[in-house]
Amino acid sequence: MKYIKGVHRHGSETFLIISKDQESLKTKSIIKSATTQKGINSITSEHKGINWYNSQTSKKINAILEKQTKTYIKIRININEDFFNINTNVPYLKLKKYLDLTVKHYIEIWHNYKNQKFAPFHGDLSLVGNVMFNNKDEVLFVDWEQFENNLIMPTGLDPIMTIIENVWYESLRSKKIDKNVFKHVKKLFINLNEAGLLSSFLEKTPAQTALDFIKSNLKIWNGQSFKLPALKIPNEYIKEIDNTIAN
Amino acid sequence: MTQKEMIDLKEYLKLHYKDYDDGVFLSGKTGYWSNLSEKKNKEFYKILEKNDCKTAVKSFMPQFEEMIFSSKREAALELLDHSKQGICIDYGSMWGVLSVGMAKRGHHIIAVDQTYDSLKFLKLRATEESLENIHLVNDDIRDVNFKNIADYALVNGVLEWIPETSEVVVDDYFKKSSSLKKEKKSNQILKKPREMQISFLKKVYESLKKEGQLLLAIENKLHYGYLLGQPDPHVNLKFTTFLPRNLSNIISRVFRKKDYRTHIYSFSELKALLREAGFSKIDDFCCFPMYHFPSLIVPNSKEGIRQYETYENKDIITWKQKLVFRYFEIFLMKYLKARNFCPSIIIVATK
Repeated sequence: MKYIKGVHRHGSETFLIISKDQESLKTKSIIKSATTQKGINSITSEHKGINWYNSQTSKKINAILEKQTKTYIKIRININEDFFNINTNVPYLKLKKYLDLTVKHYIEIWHNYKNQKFAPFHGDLSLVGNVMFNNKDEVLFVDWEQFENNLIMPTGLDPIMTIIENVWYESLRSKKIDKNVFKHVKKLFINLNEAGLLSSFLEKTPAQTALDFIKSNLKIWNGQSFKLPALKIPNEYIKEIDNTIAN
Repeated sequence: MTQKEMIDLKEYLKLHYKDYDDGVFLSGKTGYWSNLSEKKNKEFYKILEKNDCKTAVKSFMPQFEEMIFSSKREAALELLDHSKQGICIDYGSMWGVLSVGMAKRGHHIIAVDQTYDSLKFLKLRATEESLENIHLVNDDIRDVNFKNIADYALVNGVLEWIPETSEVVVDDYFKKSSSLKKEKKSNQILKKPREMQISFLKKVYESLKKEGQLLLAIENKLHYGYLLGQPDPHVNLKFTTFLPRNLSNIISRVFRKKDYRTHIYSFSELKALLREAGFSKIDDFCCFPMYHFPSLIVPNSKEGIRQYETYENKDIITWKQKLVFRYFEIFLMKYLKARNFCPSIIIVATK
C-alpha cells in the first residue's frame, strides 16, 4: 500500500510518500521527492547526510536515490525493521535512558571530531521521530534533511538541542521542573565534555550559546526553523540549564 | 524518450493538426474556459510582455499565484510510476501546473486546452523554465483523437466540466444565469452529462498505450461538507451534488435558469463510469482537504483510511471552519472511518 502522508510539510516543498506492507501494514519505506529548487536542495542534503552517517556507523540507513535530474529528485529510504520511535509524551525522567543512548550514539558517530570547535551537523536530532531505537538499545539517527557539512556549527550542538527540546517539553507538562531533571541534564553535558565533543564555544553558558548559534544560522533549516522546539523554550529555563552546569 | 522519439511526437501532432502557430498546434475550434475573462486575459498579456510569468501573475492576479505555481498541486502525480520517461496527455491543462509537474519528472507532455490564452501562458512559462518537453494543442478535449500514444493521461478537475458546453469564466459562472452569454449548443440537443463524460473517458482510454495510466481528480459528491450545506463548487448551489439529478436540475433551472450539468460522483459511481469507458484496474484514493491543494492522499480502503491523520491546512482560520473542517472531519475519518464522505477523489486507472 502506498499513500501520500505529507505535502510541503512545515514549508519543506517535498512530497512524503509511505509504502507499507499490504498484510502487516508495517512501513517498508519512506519516499521523498521534490520538483522545486528548495525541495531538491533539502533531499540532496538528506542524501549527503545519510551517506556521511553510513560512513561512520555499522548500522546503516538503506537509502536509494531513485531519480535525480535538475528538476526532479526522488529518494527511497528503506526502514530498518527492528527500529522504532519512542513515545515522547511522557515525563522527562522516563526518557532518561533514551537521552543517555542518544548522547552515547552521538559520541560514537562524531568521535572523529573530538576536541574540534566545529563538526558536521544533523540539525534536528529530535526524539520525536528522528532518533530511533531497537530492543538491543542500538540507536539510529534518521531524517537528515537539514544536514550541514561545512563545519560551521559547533561540535555538540545537536545533542544540546535535543536536551533543550526535552526540557521545554517538561516545562509544558509541569510548572516546576524536578531538580533531578537538571541533574540529569548536567550529567549529559559532562558526558559530552569528557568525550571531547563539546566545542570550546559551548563551554560557558552552553544553552544560551547554542541558541545564539541557531539564531544566526537559521538558513540551515531552509525556512523550517519555526518548528524548532529549542527556539520556543522560555529564557528562564535556558538560564537554569546554564546555571546548573556552571555550579 | 530519445531525441528521435521526441521529434516523432511532434510529427505525430503535425499529422493531427495542420496549423501550427507560435508554438501551438491549432484545431481551428474555438472555446473558452478560464478564471479570467477574455478582456482580462488581454490586459494580463500586456503585463506579460514586459515581465516574467511569476512577476506578471503576482502583479496582475496574486490570488492565482499559488494555483498556477505551487508544486503542492502536483502531489497526486507521485501516485504514478516515473521510473521510465513517457508521453503524457494533460486534458484541459489550463495554465499547466500539472503539465509542468510531469515535464519536470522527465516526461513529454501534450497539453490540450480549448483556451488559446492559457496555452500561450504555458508556452511562456515552459520557455522560462527551460522545459522543452511540453507540446501545446489548442483543441476541444471532447473531440481529440489520439490513439495508443500516451503512457499517462491527466484529467484533473476536468471531467465534471465535460457536459458544460457554455463558455465559462469561472467567477462569472458562479453569478448564476446572467453570465452565460455564449452557449455553443442548446442544452436540449446535448447528450446527457453522464453519456458525454463516458464518451470523453473512452477517448482518454483510447489515447493510452497498454498499461498506460490515467490520473483523475474530482470532488466527491458525498463530501461531508456538501452534506452539511457547503455549496457545490461548480454552480454555487447547495445540495445539488448529491440530490437526485432531476431534483438538482429543477433547483438549477429555478436559480440559474439552466440545467444542472456539472455532474460529480461518489466513489462507486465514478468507478462504474471508468469501467464503462474500458478501464479494468482502478485504484481509488481519498484526498484531503481537496485535490486542488492536497495534503493527504490515502487509499480508499479500510487499511487506507486507518492512515488518516491531521494535516496542515492554512485555509482553516475561523473557529467555525475548525469545528467543521478539522474536528468534524477527524471524527468522521479517524473514528468512524467514513471514507466515502471524504472531500475529493483521486483515481489511478490502468489500461
